Amino acid sequence: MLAIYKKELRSYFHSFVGPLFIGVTLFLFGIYFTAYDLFMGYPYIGYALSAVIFLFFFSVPLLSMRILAEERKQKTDQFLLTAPIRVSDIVLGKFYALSTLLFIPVAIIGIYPLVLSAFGEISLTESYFSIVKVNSGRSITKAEVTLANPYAEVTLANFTSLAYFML
Amino acid sequence: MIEVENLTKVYGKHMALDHVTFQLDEGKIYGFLGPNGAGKSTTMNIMTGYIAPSEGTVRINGFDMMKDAQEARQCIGYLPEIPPVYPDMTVAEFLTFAAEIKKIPKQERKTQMEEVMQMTGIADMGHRLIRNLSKGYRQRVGFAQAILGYPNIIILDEPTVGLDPKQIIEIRELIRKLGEKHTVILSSHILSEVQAVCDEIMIISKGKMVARGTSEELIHQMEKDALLELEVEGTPQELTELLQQFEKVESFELVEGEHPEITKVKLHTSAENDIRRDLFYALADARMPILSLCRKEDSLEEAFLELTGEAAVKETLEQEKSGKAGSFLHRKKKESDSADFGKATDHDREDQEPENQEDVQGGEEDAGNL
Repeated sequence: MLAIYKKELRSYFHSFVGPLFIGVTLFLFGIYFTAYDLFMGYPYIGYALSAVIFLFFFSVPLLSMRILAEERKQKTDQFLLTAPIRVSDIVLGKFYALSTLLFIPVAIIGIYPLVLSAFGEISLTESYFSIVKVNSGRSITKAEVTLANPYAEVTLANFTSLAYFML
Repeated sequence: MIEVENLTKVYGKHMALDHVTFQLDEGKIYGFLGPNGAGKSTTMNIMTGYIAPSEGTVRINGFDMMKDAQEARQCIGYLPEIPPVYPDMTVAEFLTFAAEIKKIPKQERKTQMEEVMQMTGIADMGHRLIRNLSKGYRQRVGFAQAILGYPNIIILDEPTVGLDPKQIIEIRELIRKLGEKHTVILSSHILSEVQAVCDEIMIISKGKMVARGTSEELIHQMEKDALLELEVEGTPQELTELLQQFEKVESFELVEGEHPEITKVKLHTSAENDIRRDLFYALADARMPILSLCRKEDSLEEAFLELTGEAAVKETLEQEKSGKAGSFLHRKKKESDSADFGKATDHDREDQEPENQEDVQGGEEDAGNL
C-alpha cells in the first residue's frame, strides 16, 4: 500500500495536477478571505470556506475520476493487478494519496485563523475543531460545518468514484 | 509448476478459450504459438490472475490463482503485450516502485535493480523518463520489471514485438539465460522465434490447444503423413492399378498433367515405411519410368499451418475420437482441405511474417518443379 501511496502522490506533483489543485483552492480561498474577513471584518473563517466549497464540485471529480481509468488506459493496471498485492491495497493507497493532496491546502488554510487572531478576538477552537474533524456532540457552529464539510464531501466523492471504477 | 485445468473464457458469444488443460514443469522454456486471436494472451492473462476465467482453475506451485492469489502471484513475473510502464516516471523510479510492490527486501533492492538493468541492457537509462524512450527500450523496461525479484515463473507475452533484429537476438539470449533457472513461458505468432528459443511448443488455435511437444516431435508427428510426389510416364489407369497393389501406400491422388503420357501422383505413406526403392523397381518392371520422385519433408511451418487450420482442428478431434482411422476417402479429403487452407493462411500471414512466407513459397516452388 505504501508503494502505491508514494507513487500516486509523486505522480500528482510530477504533473501540473497537484500544484494546480492546491494553487486554485488557495487562490479562491485567499480572495474570499480578503473580502469577508479582512475587508468586511467578520471573525468567522467559515464564510470564506463556504465560498470555496463550490470549487470542489469541479476539482474533486477532475482529480479522482481518472485515478483508475488512467491505469487502464496506460495498461499499467495489468502490472498492478498481477503484482502480489491486494486490490484493497491499491484502492486505499490511491485514496490516501488523494486525501493527502487535499490535506495540503486544508493545512495551509489552518494558518489563516492564526493571522486573524492577531487583530482581535477569534474563536480558534471553532475553526480548528472542524479542521481535525473532532465533533464531540457540541452544538455545531457555522464555521465547523463549512470547514468540516469540504472534507466530508471529498471523502464521499472519492469513495464513489473509486468504487465505480473498481466495478 | 503450473497446472491449468479446463480453462474456459467466454466473451459474450465468442469462446476465446475452450476447456484448455495443461501442465508445465519447472526449468523449461515453453512457447505458446498461434495465429492472432487464437487465445494466447487470454491464457496468459488468466494464468497471471489479471482476468478471471469463466470456468476452470489455475494453480501456480500449488497455489490456486483464485483463492491464494497473492502467493500465486508472488511466483510470477509478467510482461504483457504492451509494457506496463508509467510514462511520467524515470526508469529507476519505475523499477523502484516495482521492487516495492513485489516486496523485495530493502537491502536487496539496489543490487537487484542494477543486475536486472544490466541484464536487459538499460543500465545507463536509469535517469531517463520512460515517456521519452523508444518502443524497444520500453519493452526492455517491462522485461526488467518482470524479472525483478527473480520469480520462479516468467511469463512473456510477445516479448520481441517492436524490437529491431539486433535487440531480438539479445532478448532471445536473455530468455535462454533465464530459462536455465526459471520457467519461462512466452507467446508468439512468429514460428522461427519459438523454434529458436523454446524447449517445448504448444500450438493454440481458436481457443484450443491443438498440439504440444518439442519442435522435433511436432515435425515427427506430421511426418506420419509422409508425402511422396511422383511424375511417371504412363497412363493414369496403369498407374492406379499398380499403386493399388502396394499395401504400404495409404492413399494416393492423381494429378492430370498437360501431357497425356505423363501422370503426376501424390502418395501418402507412414513415415516409417520408405517405399521409394520398392516403387522404383515396381515401376521399372512395369516399364513406367519415373521422371521425378520427391519426398516432401515437413517443416514445423507446415505443421503449424496444418494444425492451426480449421480443417485440421476438426481432423484432430476426429482422430481422437476414432483413433487414427485413415480411410482412403478420408485421407483424400483432408489433403484437399489442407491445400485450400494453406493458401488462405499464406495470405493471412503475409503482412506479419515475410521471412516465413518466403519459406512457404520456397516449398511450393520446390513442389511445383517436380
